[in-house]
Amino acid sequence: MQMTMENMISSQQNSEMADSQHSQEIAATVISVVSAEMGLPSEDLTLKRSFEELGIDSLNGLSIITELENAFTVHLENEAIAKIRTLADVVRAVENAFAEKAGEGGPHA
Amino acid sequence: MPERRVVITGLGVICSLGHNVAETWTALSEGTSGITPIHCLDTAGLSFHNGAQIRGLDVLQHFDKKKLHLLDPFAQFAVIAAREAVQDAGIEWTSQLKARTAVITGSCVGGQTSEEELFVGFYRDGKTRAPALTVPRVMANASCSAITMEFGATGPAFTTATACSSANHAISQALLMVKYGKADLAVAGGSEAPFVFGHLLAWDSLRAISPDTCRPFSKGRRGTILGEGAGMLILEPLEAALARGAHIYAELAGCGLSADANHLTAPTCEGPMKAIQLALQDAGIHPHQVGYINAHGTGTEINDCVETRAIRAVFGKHADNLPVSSTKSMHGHALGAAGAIEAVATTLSLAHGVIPPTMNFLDPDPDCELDVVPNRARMASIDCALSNSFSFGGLNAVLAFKRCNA
Repeated sequence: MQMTMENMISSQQNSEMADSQHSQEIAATVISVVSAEMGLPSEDLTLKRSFEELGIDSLNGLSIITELENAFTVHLENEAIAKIRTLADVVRAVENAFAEKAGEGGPHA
Repeated sequence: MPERRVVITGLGVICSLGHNVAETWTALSEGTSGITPIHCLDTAGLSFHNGAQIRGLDVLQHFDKKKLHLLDPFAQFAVIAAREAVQDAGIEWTSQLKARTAVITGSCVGGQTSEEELFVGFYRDGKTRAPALTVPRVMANASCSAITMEFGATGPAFTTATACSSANHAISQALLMVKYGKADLAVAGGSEAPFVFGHLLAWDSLRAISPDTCRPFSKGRRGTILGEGAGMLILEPLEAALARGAHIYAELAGCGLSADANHLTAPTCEGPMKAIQLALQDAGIHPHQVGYINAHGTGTEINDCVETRAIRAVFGKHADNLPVSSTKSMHGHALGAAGAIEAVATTLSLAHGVIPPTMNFLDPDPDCELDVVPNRARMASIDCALSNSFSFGGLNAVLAFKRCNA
């Protein structure tokens, strides 16, 4: 069923679907890394929650980011890290790092 | 024993600015930066590529092969600087003096080069045995031990490890030893050799290293730049120095030590403030007498703001007219050697009446409102000066110097 649907949609939609699947994968990894670093049950972690309310200080934050960089083989710039307030921001920053990495090999690199 | 006044009669240094005091002082007073692309290793995989490394050093000019084998670079640097300081002070060793000589050195990370050699050999190259001398080369006191053996000094000797304050803690300890009669001479300072890939990778994850250069107190600063080297001071009682007709650079008049007791990497304002106040008190210096502060000034966003606040809180209105420069902008942040290289800079600043600049300065940052002597050295007659060191882990050590008219 899914296969037939995928065959029917345009390539652009196809890539959007891949993106959203990728986002979910990133979100799941973010939650598991935060859970391991902070000793919080992952069912308590939603993307809306902020570093502040979860008690994630600057050093916890660095450890989390570094774990994610290792997990996804990406590099997050300091400027991007400075803007992070919520777990959703972390997911977005990792996605952007992927986009930048893809861009580096692209025609506009 | 009554308190004795303690003076500095010898200096030694090796860093990115030069292999000795003369070269280093020329660079400091001319505002020459020792920051260049890192040349000793491939920086691919790191997000920074610049460092303040020693250049053109032929260690075989300083050590024979047999001796070299025993010494990690951080210990080599310590011995090179200690030899210069001892020679500069014109020390004539007697068995009595050797027995009463203290050697106190600082190191933050010890023998990183030797440690990495072991790991690369084992994990990457599949060697089954470690280099035989890994343990005694890696230990943080290897620098101190090598200096005691060099001169046959058998007095109190040890190494302080307080990260970026290590050398200032070592020099403080040596000051107290000589002041209170536990030693009649001290070789004190610090050394560091952090340019090792694994160690740089660790710094990279802390996000504290600048991708371009070190711009302390400046708008647009992006972090610090690592440096390497050693600085050593010879300390002795004023009376002993006068009696032997030694050249006296300056008086080491006091020290102030404190802990933030707060956070591993984020400094408080209160900890540094307290250390500065205690140093002034210990030295019997009134804040308005201070004519120069060699800042900790790492070039990170947070350090420079907090240090500015601490200086403003202690000096009040006098801070408007108080030159504060960070020589790390030239010799980089040499971690456990930083305080020692900066103590040499501060001593010479008093002795020569020249304040070394804060280089790479772009524009003032409203959060760092100080006279940071931007980009050009300045002539100034200074009576008293301070040198600040604050560390990861929140351990602060401030040294107070007085010009010697004796």
